[in-house]
Amino acid sequence: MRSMILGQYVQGDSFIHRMDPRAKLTGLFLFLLVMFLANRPAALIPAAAFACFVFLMTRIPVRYLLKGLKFIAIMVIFLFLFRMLMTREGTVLLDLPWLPIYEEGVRDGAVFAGRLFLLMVMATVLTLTTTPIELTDALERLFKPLQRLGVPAHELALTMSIALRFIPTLFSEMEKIMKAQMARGASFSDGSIVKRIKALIPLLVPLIIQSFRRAEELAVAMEARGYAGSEGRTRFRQMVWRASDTRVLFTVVLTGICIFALRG
Amino acid sequence: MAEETAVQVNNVTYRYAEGAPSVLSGLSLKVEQNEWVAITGHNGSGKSTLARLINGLLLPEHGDILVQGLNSASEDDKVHIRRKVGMVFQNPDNQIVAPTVQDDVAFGLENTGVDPQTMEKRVAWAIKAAGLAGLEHAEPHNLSGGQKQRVAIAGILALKPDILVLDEATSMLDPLGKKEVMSLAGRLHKEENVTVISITHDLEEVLRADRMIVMNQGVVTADGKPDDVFREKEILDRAGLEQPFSVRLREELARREVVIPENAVSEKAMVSALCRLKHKT
Repeated sequence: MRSMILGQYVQGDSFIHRMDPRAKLTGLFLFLLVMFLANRPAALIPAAAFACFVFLMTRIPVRYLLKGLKFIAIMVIFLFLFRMLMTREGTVLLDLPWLPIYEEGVRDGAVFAGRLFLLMVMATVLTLTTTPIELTDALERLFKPLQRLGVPAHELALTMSIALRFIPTLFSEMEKIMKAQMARGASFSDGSIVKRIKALIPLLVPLIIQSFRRAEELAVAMEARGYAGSEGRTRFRQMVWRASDTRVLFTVVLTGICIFALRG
Repeated sequence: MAEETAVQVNNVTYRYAEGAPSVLSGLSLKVEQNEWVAITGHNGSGKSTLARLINGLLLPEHGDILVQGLNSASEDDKVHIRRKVGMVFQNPDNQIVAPTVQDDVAFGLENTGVDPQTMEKRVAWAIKAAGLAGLEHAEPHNLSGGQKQRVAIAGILALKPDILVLDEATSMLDPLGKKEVMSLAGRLHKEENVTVISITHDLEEVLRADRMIVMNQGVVTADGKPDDVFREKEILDRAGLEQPFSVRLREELARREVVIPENAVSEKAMVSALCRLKHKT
Protein backbone atom coordinates (compact mmCIF):
# COMPACT_ATOMS: atom_id res chain seq x y z
CA MET A 1 0.00 0.00 0.00
CA ARG A 2 2.69 2.48 -0.86
CA SER A 3 0.19 4.60 -2.77
CA MET A 4 -1.91 5.17 0.36
CA ILE A 5 -0.85 8.41 1.98
CA LEU A 6 -3.89 8.99 4.16
CA GLY A 7 -2.53 8.70 7.69
CA GLN A 8 1.03 9.73 6.93
CA TYR A 9 2.68 12.86 8.20
CA VAL A 10 4.95 15.15 6.20
CA GLN A 11 7.10 17.45 8.26
CA GLY A 12 6.74 21.10 7.49
CA ASP A 13 6.28 24.55 8.87
CA SER A 14 3.41 25.94 6.82
CA PHE A 15 0.44 27.82 8.19
CA ILE A 16 -1.62 24.65 8.00
CA HIS A 17 1.05 22.70 9.89
CA ARG A 18 1.05 25.28 12.64
CA MET A 19 -2.72 25.53 12.98
CA ASP A 20 -4.31 24.37 16.22
CA PRO A 21 -5.11 20.67 15.65
CA ARG A 22 -8.50 21.23 17.27
CA ALA A 23 -9.26 23.84 14.61
CA LYS A 24 -8.16 21.44 11.89
CA LEU A 25 -10.43 18.68 13.18
CA THR A 26 -13.38 21.00 13.65
CA GLY A 27 -12.70 22.47 10.23
CA LEU A 28 -12.76 19.03 8.61
CA PHE A 29 -16.06 18.24 10.27
CA LEU A 30 -17.57 21.57 9.24
CA PHE A 31 -16.32 21.01 5.70
CA LEU A 32 -18.10 17.65 5.62
CA LEU A 33 -21.37 19.24 6.79
CA VAL A 34 -21.11 22.10 4.35
CA MET A 35 -20.66 19.77 1.41
CA PHE A 36 -24.02 18.17 2.12
CA LEU A 37 -25.60 21.42 0.99
CA ALA A 38 -24.52 20.74 -2.56
CA ASN A 39 -27.14 19.07 -4.75
CA ARG A 40 -25.50 19.49 -8.16
CA PRO A 41 -21.89 19.28 -9.35
CA ALA A 42 -21.56 23.02 -9.92
CA ALA A 43 -22.38 23.71 -6.28
CA LEU A 44 -19.25 21.80 -5.27
CA ILE A 45 -17.00 24.31 -7.02
CA PRO A 46 -16.52 26.52 -3.93
CA ALA A 47 -15.62 23.43 -1.88
CA ALA A 48 -13.13 22.32 -4.52
CA ALA A 49 -11.63 25.81 -4.60
CA PHE A 50 -11.31 25.81 -0.83
CA ALA A 51 -9.63 22.38 -0.85
CA CYS A 52 -7.16 23.49 -3.54
CA PHE A 53 -6.40 26.64 -1.60
CA VAL A 54 -5.77 24.74 1.65
CA PHE A 55 -3.63 22.18 -0.09
CA LEU A 56 -1.47 24.83 -1.76
CA MET A 57 -0.94 26.42 1.64
CA THR A 58 0.55 23.23 3.06
CA ARG A 59 3.47 23.58 0.58
CA ILE A 60 3.47 19.83 0.10
CA PRO A 61 4.36 18.91 -3.53
CA VAL A 62 1.25 18.23 -5.64
CA ARG A 63 2.93 15.13 -7.04
CA TYR A 64 2.92 13.65 -3.57
CA LEU A 65 -0.82 14.10 -3.23
CA LEU A 66 -1.58 12.80 -6.73
CA LYS A 67 0.40 9.64 -6.07
CA GLY A 68 -1.50 9.10 -2.86
CA LEU A 69 -4.88 9.72 -4.40
CA LYS A 70 -4.68 6.80 -6.83
CA PHE A 71 -6.32 4.43 -4.41
CA ILE A 72 -8.94 6.97 -3.44
CA ALA A 73 -9.68 7.68 -7.10
CA ILE A 74 -10.62 4.05 -7.66
CA MET A 75 -13.08 4.22 -4.77
CA VAL A 76 -14.50 7.48 -6.06
CA ILE A 77 -15.01 6.13 -9.59
CA PHE A 78 -16.67 3.04 -8.20
CA LEU A 79 -19.02 5.17 -6.12
CA PHE A 80 -19.81 7.34 -9.14
CA LEU A 81 -20.73 4.31 -11.29
CA PHE A 82 -22.77 2.78 -8.51
CA ARG A 83 -24.82 5.90 -7.84
CA MET A 84 -25.22 6.58 -11.56
CA LEU A 85 -26.63 3.16 -12.29
CA MET A 86 -28.86 3.02 -9.23
CA THR A 87 -30.66 6.32 -9.80
CA ARG A 88 -33.44 6.13 -12.36
CA GLU A 89 -34.95 9.56 -12.66
CA GLY A 90 -35.06 12.31 -15.21
CA THR A 91 -34.57 11.93 -18.93
CA VAL A 92 -32.73 8.98 -20.39
CA LEU A 93 -29.33 10.01 -21.67
CA LEU A 94 -28.16 6.72 -23.06
CA ASP A 95 -30.56 3.90 -23.72
CA LEU A 96 -28.43 0.82 -23.20
CA PRO A 97 -30.54 -2.35 -23.36
CA TRP A 98 -29.92 -3.49 -19.77
CA LEU A 99 -28.63 -0.39 -18.09
CA PRO A 100 -30.31 2.80 -19.18
CA ILE A 101 -28.43 5.85 -17.93
CA TYR A 102 -30.52 8.71 -16.66
CA GLU A 103 -29.66 12.38 -16.37
CA GLU A 104 -30.40 12.41 -12.66
CA GLY A 105 -28.09 9.45 -12.22
CA VAL A 106 -25.09 11.20 -13.72
CA ARG A 107 -25.75 14.27 -11.65
CA ASP A 108 -26.28 12.35 -8.42
CA GLY A 109 -23.23 10.19 -9.04
CA ALA A 110 -21.06 13.22 -9.71
CA VAL A 111 -22.19 14.97 -6.53
CA PHE A 112 -21.57 11.90 -4.40
CA ALA A 113 -18.22 11.17 -5.98
CA GLY A 114 -17.18 14.83 -5.71
CA ARG A 115 -18.09 14.97 -2.06
CA LEU A 116 -16.21 11.81 -1.22
CA PHE A 117 -13.19 12.91 -3.23
CA LEU A 118 -12.99 16.32 -1.59
CA LEU A 119 -13.52 14.87 1.85
CA MET A 120 -10.72 12.37 1.31
CA VAL A 121 -8.41 15.10 0.05
CA MET A 122 -9.11 17.20 3.13
CA ALA A 123 -8.71 14.25 5.48
CA THR A 124 -5.38 13.49 3.80
CA VAL A 125 -4.32 17.12 4.21
CA LEU A 126 -5.20 16.85 7.90
CA THR A 127 -3.02 13.80 8.52
CA LEU A 128 -0.24 15.07 6.26
CA THR A 129 0.11 18.19 8.38
CA THR A 130 -0.68 16.89 11.87
CA THR A 131 1.30 14.38 13.94
CA PRO A 132 -0.70 11.47 15.39
CA ILE A 133 -0.01 12.65 18.91
CA GLU A 134 -1.40 16.11 18.12
CA LEU A 135 -4.49 14.46 16.70
CA THR A 136 -5.11 12.27 19.76
CA ASP A 137 -4.50 15.27 22.00
CA ALA A 138 -6.95 17.37 20.02
CA LEU A 139 -9.55 14.60 20.10
CA GLU A 140 -9.18 14.32 23.85
CA ARG A 141 -9.71 18.03 24.32
CA LEU A 142 -12.62 18.25 21.91
CA PHE A 143 -14.39 15.37 23.62
CA LYS A 144 -13.61 16.57 27.11
CA PRO A 145 -17.02 18.20 27.60
CA LEU A 146 -18.54 14.78 26.96
CA GLN A 147 -16.59 13.32 29.87
CA ARG A 148 -19.41 14.34 32.18
CA LEU A 149 -21.76 12.23 30.12
CA GLY A 150 -19.53 9.23 30.73
CA VAL A 151 -17.44 9.35 27.55
CA PRO A 152 -13.94 8.31 28.68
CA ALA A 153 -12.18 10.90 26.51
CA HIS A 154 -8.90 10.89 28.41
CA GLU A 155 -8.68 7.10 28.60
CA LEU A 156 -9.46 6.69 24.91
CA ALA A 157 -6.85 9.25 23.92
CA LEU A 158 -4.23 7.69 26.18
CA THR A 159 -4.99 4.23 24.80
CA MET A 160 -4.65 5.56 21.29
CA SER A 161 -1.35 7.28 22.02
CA ILE A 162 0.05 4.14 23.69
CA ALA A 163 -1.09 2.10 20.69
CA LEU A 164 0.72 4.52 18.37
CA ARG A 165 3.85 4.30 20.47
CA PHE A 166 3.84 0.49 20.46
CA ILE A 167 3.03 -0.17 16.79
CA PRO A 168 6.70 -0.03 15.66
CA THR A 169 7.79 -2.01 18.72
CA LEU A 170 5.31 -4.77 17.93
CA PHE A 171 6.30 -4.76 14.27
CA SER A 172 9.93 -5.37 15.12
CA GLU A 173 8.87 -8.02 17.58
CA MET A 174 6.82 -9.75 14.90
CA GLU A 175 9.82 -9.73 12.60
CA LYS A 176 11.89 -11.34 15.35
CA ILE A 177 9.30 -14.07 15.99
CA MET A 178 9.01 -14.67 12.26
CA LYS A 179 12.75 -15.18 11.98
CA ALA A 180 12.74 -17.45 15.02
CA GLN A 181 9.97 -19.59 13.51
CA MET A 182 11.68 -19.61 10.12
CA ALA A 183 14.85 -20.84 11.80
CA ARG A 184 12.77 -23.79 12.98
CA GLY A 185 11.61 -24.50 9.47
CA ALA A 186 8.34 -22.60 9.36
CA SER A 187 7.39 -21.11 6.04
CA PHE A 188 5.11 -18.14 5.54
CA SER A 189 5.13 -17.84 1.78
CA ASP A 190 4.45 -21.32 0.37
CA GLY A 191 1.37 -23.42 0.00
CA SER A 192 -2.31 -22.74 -0.31
CA ILE A 193 -4.05 -19.82 1.33
CA VAL A 194 -5.34 -22.08 4.09
CA LYS A 195 -1.83 -23.27 4.77
CA ARG A 196 -0.48 -19.73 4.84
CA ILE A 197 -3.16 -18.60 7.25
CA LYS A 198 -2.40 -21.58 9.47
CA ALA A 199 1.27 -20.61 9.40
CA LEU A 200 0.33 -17.32 11.03
CA ILE A 201 -0.86 -19.01 14.21
CA PRO A 202 2.64 -19.71 15.59
CA LEU A 203 3.36 -16.07 14.82
CA LEU A 204 0.34 -14.50 16.44
CA VAL A 205 0.20 -16.56 19.61
CA PRO A 206 3.63 -15.50 20.91
CA LEU A 207 2.98 -11.94 19.76
CA ILE A 208 -0.26 -11.73 21.71
CA ILE A 209 1.22 -13.35 24.80
CA GLN A 210 4.12 -10.91 24.66
CA SER A 211 1.74 -7.99 24.25
CA PHE A 212 -0.11 -8.97 27.39
CA ARG A 213 3.17 -9.15 29.27
CA ARG A 214 4.17 -5.76 27.93
CA ALA A 215 0.82 -4.29 28.91
CA GLU A 216 1.22 -5.54 32.44
CA GLU A 217 4.75 -4.20 32.80
CA LEU A 218 3.74 -0.87 31.28
CA ALA A 219 0.84 -0.60 33.72
CA VAL A 220 3.20 -1.14 36.66
CA ALA A 221 5.66 1.41 35.27
CA MET A 222 2.86 3.95 34.78
CA GLU A 223 1.64 3.41 38.32
CA ALA A 224 5.17 3.79 39.64
CA ARG A 225 5.34 7.14 37.83
CA GLY A 226 2.28 8.33 39.66
CA TYR A 227 -0.38 7.83 37.01
CA ALA A 228 -3.82 7.88 38.59
CA GLY A 229 -6.27 8.78 35.84
CA SER A 230 -7.12 12.14 34.37
CA GLU A 231 -7.95 13.89 37.63
CA GLY A 232 -5.46 16.55 38.69
CA ARG A 233 -3.39 15.96 35.57
CA THR A 234 -1.80 18.79 33.63
CA ARG A 235 -0.63 18.66 30.04
CA PHE A 236 2.84 19.15 28.63
CA ARG A 237 1.56 19.95 25.16
CA GLN A 238 -0.27 23.21 25.16
CA MET A 239 -2.60 24.18 22.34
CA VAL A 240 -3.11 27.76 21.36
CA TRP A 241 -6.22 28.70 19.46
CA ARG A 242 -5.29 31.82 17.50
CA ALA A 243 -7.51 34.30 15.76
CA SER A 244 -6.28 32.84 12.47
CA ASP A 245 -7.75 29.46 13.47
CA THR A 246 -11.14 31.05 13.90
CA ARG A 247 -10.72 32.75 10.55
CA VAL A 248 -10.13 29.41 8.85
CA LEU A 249 -13.35 28.02 10.32
CA PHE A 250 -15.13 31.16 9.19
CA THR A 251 -13.83 30.56 5.67
CA VAL A 252 -15.34 27.07 5.75
CA VAL A 253 -18.69 28.57 6.70
CA LEU A 254 -18.32 31.11 3.91
CA THR A 255 -17.65 28.27 1.48
CA GLY A 256 -20.89 26.73 2.76
CA ILE A 257 -22.80 29.93 1.96
CA CYS A 258 -21.38 29.93 -1.56
CA ILE A 259 -22.42 26.30 -1.99
CA PHE A 260 -25.90 27.15 -0.80
CA ALA A 261 -26.12 30.01 -3.27
CA LEU A 262 -25.14 27.72 -6.14
CA ARG A 263 -27.73 25.06 -5.32
CA GLY A 264 -29.92 24.12 -8.21
CA MET B 1 15.23 16.39 56.52
CA ALA B 2 18.59 15.53 55.02
CA GLU B 3 19.41 13.59 58.16
CA GLU B 4 16.33 11.44 57.88
CA THR B 5 16.67 7.79 56.93
CA ALA B 6 15.83 7.40 53.25
CA VAL B 7 14.20 4.00 53.50
CA GLN B 8 13.38 2.03 56.59
CA VAL B 9 12.05 -1.50 56.27
CA ASN B 10 10.70 -2.84 59.56
CA ASN B 11 10.12 -6.55 59.96
CA VAL B 12 8.34 -6.89 56.62
CA THR B 13 6.66 -10.07 55.48
CA TYR B 14 5.17 -10.39 52.01
CA ARG B 15 3.56 -13.14 49.98
CA TYR B 16 1.98 -12.87 46.54
CA ALA B 17 -1.09 -14.92 47.39
CA GLU B 18 -2.80 -16.29 50.44
CA GLY B 19 -1.17 -19.60 51.34
CA ALA B 20 1.76 -19.04 48.98
CA PRO B 21 5.24 -19.20 50.51
CA SER B 22 6.40 -15.83 51.76
CA VAL B 23 8.78 -13.98 49.49
CA LEU B 24 10.02 -11.77 52.28
CA SER B 25 9.99 -13.04 55.83
CA GLY B 26 10.60 -10.56 58.60
CA LEU B 27 12.93 -8.38 56.56
CA SER B 28 14.43 -5.33 58.22
CA LEU B 29 16.90 -2.89 56.78
CA LYS B 30 17.75 0.77 56.60
CA VAL B 31 19.09 2.85 53.78
CA GLU B 32 20.54 6.22 54.75
CA GLN B 33 20.19 9.40 52.76
CA ASN B 34 22.66 9.72 49.89
CA GLU B 35 23.87 6.16 50.19
CA TRP B 36 24.43 3.91 47.18
CA VAL B 37 23.22 0.45 48.08
CA ALA B 38 23.37 -2.60 45.85
CA ILE B 39 20.94 -5.37 46.64
CA THR B 40 21.82 -8.69 45.14
CA GLY B 41 20.75 -12.31 45.37
CA HIS B 42 19.65 -15.08 43.03
CA ASN B 43 16.26 -15.21 41.30
CA GLY B 44 13.42 -15.47 43.76
CA SER B 45 15.41 -14.07 46.66
CA GLY B 46 12.83 -11.32 46.99
CA LYS B 47 14.93 -8.40 45.81
CA SER B 48 12.55 -7.16 43.12
CA THR B 49 9.63 -7.57 45.49
CA LEU B 50 11.48 -5.34 47.93
CA ALA B 51 11.84 -2.67 45.22
CA ARG B 52 8.11 -2.69 44.58
CA LEU B 53 7.35 -2.49 48.28
CA ILE B 54 9.54 0.60 48.67
CA ASN B 55 7.58 2.43 45.98
CA GLY B 56 4.21 1.38 47.38
CA LEU B 57 3.35 -0.71 44.31
CA LEU B 58 2.95 -3.60 46.74
CA LEU B 59 1.97 -3.37 50.37
CA PRO B 60 3.54 -5.52 53.09
CA GLU B 61 1.49 -8.18 54.82
CA HIS B 62 3.18 -7.49 58.13
CA GLY B 63 5.54 -4.77 59.20
CA ASP B 64 5.87 -1.38 57.58
CA ILE B 65 8.01 0.58 55.20
CA LEU B 66 8.91 4.20 55.78
CA VAL B 67 10.27 6.39 53.01
CA GLN B 68 11.69 9.52 54.63
CA GLY B 69 9.26 8.93 57.43
CA LEU B 70 6.22 8.42 55.16
CA ASN B 71 4.40 5.12 55.47
CA SER B 72 3.83 3.31 52.18
CA ALA B 73 0.57 1.83 53.46
CA SER B 74 -1.04 5.26 53.80
CA GLU B 75 -3.09 6.27 50.76
CA ASP B 76 -2.27 9.96 51.28
CA ASP B 77 1.45 9.40 51.57
CA LYS B 78 1.62 7.11 48.55
CA VAL B 79 1.46 10.04 46.12
CA HIS B 80 4.39 11.70 47.88
CA ILE B 81 6.36 8.47 48.06
CA ARG B 82 6.01 7.96 44.33
CA ARG B 83 7.41 11.43 43.77
CA LYS B 84 10.35 10.74 46.06
CA VAL B 85 11.13 7.26 44.79
CA GLY B 86 11.80 6.87 41.09
CA MET B 87 11.92 3.39 39.66
CA VAL B 88 13.63 2.13 36.54
CA PHE B 89 12.57 -1.34 35.47
CA GLN B 90 14.29 -4.11 33.59
CA ASN B 91 12.76 -3.92 30.13
CA PRO B 92 13.51 -0.60 28.44
CA ASP B 93 10.68 -1.06 25.94
CA ASN B 94 7.93 -1.56 28.46
CA GLN B 95 8.24 1.57 30.52
CA ILE B 96 8.09 4.29 27.89
CA VAL B 97 4.52 5.48 27.62
CA ALA B 98 4.54 8.34 25.13
CA PRO B 99 5.43 8.41 21.42
CA THR B 100 8.32 10.87 21.76
CA VAL B 101 11.15 11.36 24.24
CA GLN B 102 9.98 14.72 25.55
CA ASP B 103 6.38 13.58 25.98
CA ASP B 104 7.58 10.59 27.95
CA VAL B 105 9.85 12.64 30.18
CA ALA B 106 6.85 14.88 30.87
CA PHE B 107 4.56 11.97 31.76
CA GLY B 108 5.40 11.88 35.48
CA LEU B 109 5.11 15.67 35.73
CA GLU B 110 1.72 15.58 34.02
CA ASN B 111 0.56 13.01 36.55
CA THR B 112 1.51 15.20 39.48
CA GLY B 113 -0.16 18.25 38.00
CA VAL B 114 2.86 20.49 37.50
CA ASP B 115 1.96 23.67 35.61
CA PRO B 116 2.99 23.71 31.93
CA GLN B 117 5.61 26.48 32.19
CA THR B 118 7.52 24.74 34.96
CA MET B 119 7.05 21.45 33.15
CA GLU B 120 8.71 22.73 30.01
CA LYS B 121 11.77 23.88 31.95
CA ARG B 122 12.04 20.68 33.96
CA VAL B 123 11.67 18.47 30.90
CA ALA B 124 14.39 20.37 29.07
CA TRP B 125 16.65 20.21 32.11
CA ALA B 126 16.09 16.47 32.68
CA ILE B 127 16.72 15.62 29.03
CA LYS B 128 19.96 17.55 29.13
CA ALA B 129 21.03 16.04 32.45
CA ALA B 130 20.44 12.55 31.06
CA GLY B 131 22.63 13.36 28.08
CA LEU B 132 19.76 13.12 25.62
CA ALA B 133 19.91 16.65 24.20
CA GLY B 134 18.94 16.64 20.54
CA LEU B 135 16.70 13.60 20.92
CA GLU B 136 13.67 15.50 22.28
CA HIS B 137 11.46 14.53 19.35
CA ALA B 138 12.93 11.08 18.76
CA GLU B 139 10.57 8.12 18.82
CA PRO B 140 11.37 5.40 21.35
CA HIS B 141 11.75 2.63 18.77
CA ASN B 142 14.61 4.54 17.16
CA LEU B 143 16.62 4.65 20.38
CA SER B 144 19.19 2.19 21.68
CA GLY B 145 18.52 0.21 24.86
CA GLY B 146 20.83 2.45 26.86
CA GLN B 147 19.14 5.56 25.51
CA LYS B 148 15.70 4.17 26.38
CA GLN B 149 16.77 3.50 29.96
CA ARG B 150 18.17 7.01 30.14
CA VAL B 151 14.81 8.32 28.92
CA ALA B 152 13.24 6.40 31.80
CA ILE B 153 15.74 7.96 34.21
CA ALA B 154 15.15 11.43 32.73
CA GLY B 155 11.41 10.97 33.32
CA ILE B 156 12.15 10.24 36.96
CA LEU B 157 14.74 12.98 37.21
CA ALA B 158 12.21 15.58 36.06
CA LEU B 159 10.30 14.87 39.26
CA LYS B 160 13.44 15.63 41.31
CA PRO B 161 13.34 12.42 43.30
CA ASP B 162 15.39 11.72 46.42
CA ILE B 163 15.72 8.02 45.82
CA LEU B 164 16.42 6.17 42.59
CA VAL B 165 15.61 2.46 42.50
CA LEU B 166 17.20 0.57 39.62
CA ASP B 167 15.40 -2.76 39.37
CA GLU B 168 17.82 -4.76 37.21
CA ALA B 169 17.79 -1.73 34.95
CA THR B 170 20.91 -2.76 33.04
CA SER B 171 20.32 -6.49 32.69
CA MET B 172 18.90 -6.22 29.17
CA LEU B 173 21.49 -3.76 27.89
CA ASP B 174 24.70 -4.21 25.94
CA PRO B 175 28.00 -3.22 27.66
CA LEU B 176 27.87 0.32 26.25
CA GLY B 177 24.28 0.81 27.41
CA LYS B 178 25.20 -0.50 30.85
CA LYS B 179 28.02 1.97 31.10
CA GLU B 180 25.82 4.88 30.00
CA VAL B 181 23.14 4.09 32.55
CA MET B 182 25.53 3.44 35.43
CA SER B 183 27.55 6.58 34.83
CA LEU B 184 24.35 8.63 34.71
CA ALA B 185 23.25 7.09 38.02
CA GLY B 186 26.70 7.83 39.42
CA ARG B 187 26.46 11.46 38.36
CA LEU B 188 23.04 11.92 39.93
CA HIS B 189 24.30 10.31 43.09
CA LYS B 190 27.19 12.73 43.28
CA GLU B 191 25.72 15.94 41.90
CA GLU B 192 22.07 15.76 42.88
CA ASN B 193 22.60 13.81 46.11
CA VAL B 194 20.22 11.09 45.00
CA THR B 195 20.11 7.94 47.11
CA VAL B 196 20.60 4.97 44.78
CA ILE B 197 19.23 1.51 45.46
CA SER B 198 20.43 -0.74 42.71
CA ILE B 199 19.01 -4.22 42.45
CA THR B 200 21.33 -6.23 40.31
CA HIS B 201 23.00 -9.47 39.33
CA ASP B 202 25.94 -7.67 37.84
CA LEU B 203 28.89 -7.90 40.19
CA GLU B 204 30.73 -5.03 38.54
CA GLU B 205 27.72 -2.90 39.34
CA VAL B 206 27.75 -4.05 42.93
CA LEU B 207 31.33 -2.86 43.25
CA ARG B 208 30.22 0.71 42.48
CA ALA B 209 28.09 0.75 45.61
CA ASP B 210 28.99 2.05 49.04
CA ARG B 211 27.24 -0.88 50.58
CA MET B 212 25.93 -4.21 49.43
CA ILE B 213 23.11 -6.32 50.76
CA VAL B 214 22.85 -10.00 49.90
CA MET B 215 19.39 -11.47 50.04
CA ASN B 216 18.51 -15.12 50.16
CA GLN B 217 15.03 -16.57 50.57
CA GLY B 218 13.52 -13.33 51.75
CA VAL B 219 16.06 -12.43 54.42
CA VAL B 220 19.28 -10.43 54.47
CA THR B 221 22.26 -12.76 54.70
CA ALA B 222 25.03 -10.22 54.36
CA ASP B 223 25.23 -6.46 54.64
CA GLY B 224 28.39 -4.42 54.43
CA LYS B 225 31.02 -2.88 52.20
CA PRO B 226 31.30 -4.76 48.90
CA ASP B 227 35.01 -5.43 49.57
CA ASP B 228 34.19 -7.10 52.85
CA VAL B 229 31.15 -9.04 51.70
CA PHE B 230 32.87 -10.41 48.61
CA ARG B 231 35.50 -12.02 50.80
CA GLU B 232 32.84 -14.14 52.54
CA LYS B 233 32.87 -16.92 50.02
CA GLU B 234 30.55 -19.11 52.07
CA ILE B 235 27.76 -16.57 52.22
CA LEU B 236 28.08 -15.83 48.54
CA ASP B 237 27.92 -19.53 47.68
CA ARG B 238 24.79 -20.00 49.72
CA ALA B 239 23.17 -17.01 47.98
CA GLY B 240 24.18 -18.47 44.62
CA LEU B 241 26.59 -15.65 43.83
CA GLU B 242 30.07 -15.72 42.46
CA GLN B 243 32.95 -13.58 43.63
CA PRO B 244 33.85 -10.88 41.16
CA PHE B 245 36.82 -11.54 38.94
CA SER B 246 39.13 -9.11 40.75
CA VAL B 247 38.46 -10.73 44.13
CA ARG B 248 39.05 -14.21 42.74
CA LEU B 249 42.24 -13.03 41.08
CA ARG B 250 43.50 -11.52 44.32
CA GLU B 251 42.84 -14.72 46.23
CA GLU B 252 44.49 -16.84 43.59
CA LEU B 253 47.52 -14.55 43.65
CA ALA B 254 47.62 -14.61 47.45
CA ARG B 255 47.84 -18.39 47.28
CA ARG B 256 50.93 -17.92 45.14
CA GLU B 257 52.22 -15.43 47.68
CA VAL B 258 51.68 -12.36 45.55
CA VAL B 259 50.12 -9.68 47.70
CA ILE B 260 47.62 -7.28 46.20
CA PRO B 261 46.23 -4.54 48.45
CA GLU B 262 42.75 -5.38 49.66
CA ASN B 263 41.19 -2.16 48.49
CA ALA B 264 41.94 -3.02 44.88
CA VAL B 265 38.46 -4.29 44.11
CA SER B 266 37.40 -2.40 41.03
CA GLU B 267 38.87 -3.36 37.70
CA LYS B 268 40.75 -0.10 37.43
CA ALA B 269 42.31 -0.37 40.90
CA MET B 270 43.25 -3.96 40.19
CA VAL B 271 44.99 -3.08 36.96
CA SER B 272 47.00 -0.30 38.59
CA ALA B 273 47.90 -2.58 41.52
CA LEU B 274 49.15 -5.20 39.06
CA CYS B 275 51.17 -2.58 37.17
CA ARG B 276 52.78 -1.39 40.37
CA LEU B 277 53.63 -5.00 41.15
CA LYS B 278 55.46 -5.28 37.89
CA HIS B 279 57.48 -2.18 38.62
CA LYS B 280 58.72 -3.69 41.88
CA THR B 281 60.03 -6.90 40.36
